[in-house]
Amino acid sequence: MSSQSSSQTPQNIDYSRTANVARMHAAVARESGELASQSVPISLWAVVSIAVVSICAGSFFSGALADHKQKPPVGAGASGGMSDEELHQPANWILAGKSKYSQCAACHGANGEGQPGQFPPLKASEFVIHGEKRLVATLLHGISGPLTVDGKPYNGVMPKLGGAASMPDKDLAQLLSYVRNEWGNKGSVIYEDQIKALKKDLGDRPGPYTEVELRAIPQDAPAPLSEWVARLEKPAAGAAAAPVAAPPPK
Amino acid sequence: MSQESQTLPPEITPDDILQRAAIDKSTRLPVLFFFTSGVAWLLIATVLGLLASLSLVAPDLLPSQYLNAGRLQPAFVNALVYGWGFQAGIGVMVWIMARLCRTELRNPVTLVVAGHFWNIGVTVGVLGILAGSGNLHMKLLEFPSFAWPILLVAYTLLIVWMVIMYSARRKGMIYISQWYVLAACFTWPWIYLVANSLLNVLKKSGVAGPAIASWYANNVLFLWMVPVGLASAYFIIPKITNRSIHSYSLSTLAFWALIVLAPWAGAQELIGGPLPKWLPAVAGTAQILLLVPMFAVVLNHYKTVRGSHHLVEASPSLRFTFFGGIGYACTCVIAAVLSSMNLSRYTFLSYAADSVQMTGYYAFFTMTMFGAIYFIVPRITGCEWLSGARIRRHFWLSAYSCIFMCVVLLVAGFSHGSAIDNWSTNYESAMLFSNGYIVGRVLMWILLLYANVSFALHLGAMVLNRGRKAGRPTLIHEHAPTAVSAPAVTLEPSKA
Repeated sequence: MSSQSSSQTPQNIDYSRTANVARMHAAVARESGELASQSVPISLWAVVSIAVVSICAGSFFSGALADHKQKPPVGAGASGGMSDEELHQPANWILAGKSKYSQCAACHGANGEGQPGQFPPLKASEFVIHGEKRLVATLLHGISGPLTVDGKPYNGVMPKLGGAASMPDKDLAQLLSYVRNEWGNKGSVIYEDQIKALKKDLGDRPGPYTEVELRAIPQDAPAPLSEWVARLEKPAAGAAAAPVAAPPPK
Repeated sequence: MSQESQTLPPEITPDDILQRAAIDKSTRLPVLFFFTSGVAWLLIATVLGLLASLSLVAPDLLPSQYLNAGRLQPAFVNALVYGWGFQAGIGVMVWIMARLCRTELRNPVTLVVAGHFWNIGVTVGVLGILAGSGNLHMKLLEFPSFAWPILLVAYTLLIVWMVIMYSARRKGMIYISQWYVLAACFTWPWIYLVANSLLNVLKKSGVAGPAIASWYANNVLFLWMVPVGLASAYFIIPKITNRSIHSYSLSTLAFWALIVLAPWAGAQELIGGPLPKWLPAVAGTAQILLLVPMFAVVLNHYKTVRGSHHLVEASPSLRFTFFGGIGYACTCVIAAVLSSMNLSRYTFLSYAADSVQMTGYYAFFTMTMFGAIYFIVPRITGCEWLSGARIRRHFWLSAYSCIFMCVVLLVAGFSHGSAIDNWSTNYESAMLFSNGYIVGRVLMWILLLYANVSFALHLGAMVLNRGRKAGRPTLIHEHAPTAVSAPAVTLEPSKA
């Protein structure tokens, strides 16, 4: 047994001594040795690929951190991340109206000063800062023909913004609240339920108001009280930055 | 195997062979213990995985309160990781360490005792989860809090002997596999101790809990399974192809990049959650950078194997290892892609996380361990695997079902996750969006169960010494033209 075995192997080793181990380990015998690694250097394109991965990781990192620093813009979307109560806080409500003012700015100007002779100012305007009803009526149905504001004559057309096809009540309410509290204006905040109530109150009209018709609405005519006033008063204390729909200052 | 020519390679003397045989004999008891109890847990995990996926399709099928999806899923994952993964891994670590240190294992019995402790810990833990006393929601830390000291002590007992073997090694050369085995010895106790002392001793809870758990779970994969799997791959690929590993520099780069980067990753899972934003940002960056060591390893292994792809067809060990390498690459890529802020919005809390788990634990780690077991067991039992056809069946069933499962869970994750992301969809209908995919997963579990039972029986035959006695390796394709050469050296003359 051992002689046959040793004749097949390079060295004469007496395997009978270890026959058991040898029989068991045919698998071991056919195994190759443990080889040391070659020392091929890392190729250039491998280094480049690693650099690309690292750059991707870096841009991910700065992106993820930049996101950290960015706060959601307050009132950017009508209700971006805010609860209804938060949104209806006067300060937020007014701010939310700011983004809707862009379509007014074309005529009335970003500073709300209008164009002499054509478009009346909104800043300190007698039609803007007093009672809610007249202002809402103007927005809901528009005006055409000559108009005197604060003693100066104007002659243009104010298209109607309210109504089924145009601005929703909520947006209109935010817009008007903004206009009544910007450029030094100090007016009450208007909520969407007040717009809705006034719409009912004013009824349908075939066309826009004329100056006479508009002035028929008393200057201080208020809107009905909003349910939001009561709702916001419960948590109270918080941000009461602007006066809530109360009788406007005379 | 064709490279295993008719004569011994010059550096191997019959003394070397005898020494190896003696080492294998000394490791036989503990290694077989870990393999067999690991495979028993693999079967349990497969059944639990099947039941867990079934319970989402037909909740009324399992009336018992112990068998609901909320308990079955963590029981399955923990049985798979701690029962099967760790035990198979420890078996491979012990054997590779003994072989590469060229020292016989002095205390096989201590290892077996530690192994029993480990099994007790896992059993108590899995039963605890099913009984409802686990820390659910803490990924991979779901075992009830009394189980963790048992596992930690058992593992410490194991690594003591591995470190002793390492310090008593002969010959100056330190192989790449040894780096990885040593790393795996120390990383797991570290992360497990940190996670458990924060959660169970200092009782950090609330937002910190999931952050710690996702850090830990990610590191079980990248700081334990990846080193163990790579140790096995770095050992088996040169052995079977009889070629040196392509580049030492790439290996060093891959090793240190992995060890340095992996501990930073993990919390990217919670991106968008109520955590300081730098935490997911750093973690996501590390997860993307982990593509670098993956890329270096895959390149290195590919260059080593290149030209001997016929061996991948023929050799069971190499084929499973090769598949595991692809699984490793896929795990890293999927994990990196999902850490992107824009995508994670659609995958957060969805089945996509299960897909990463299955890719990492199964397609990579489990398949690599199968490869190692196919290599090691014939050497320590002294008989050959019974049938190449059976190994082939095991390979294809496992490969198809885990590829299918990973893909399906990823797709299901996107449809599930984007439904969750849509605020107007309620959770129940979000679940319904992915129902079709979940039915597919059940079918794949049935295939996996078949494959694993067949593998367990095959291993059982080997352990009971019922394997083939012929000293030829069992190949997947017996008729592969390049792989039919007879064994290199016959020490056993009566067979000739």
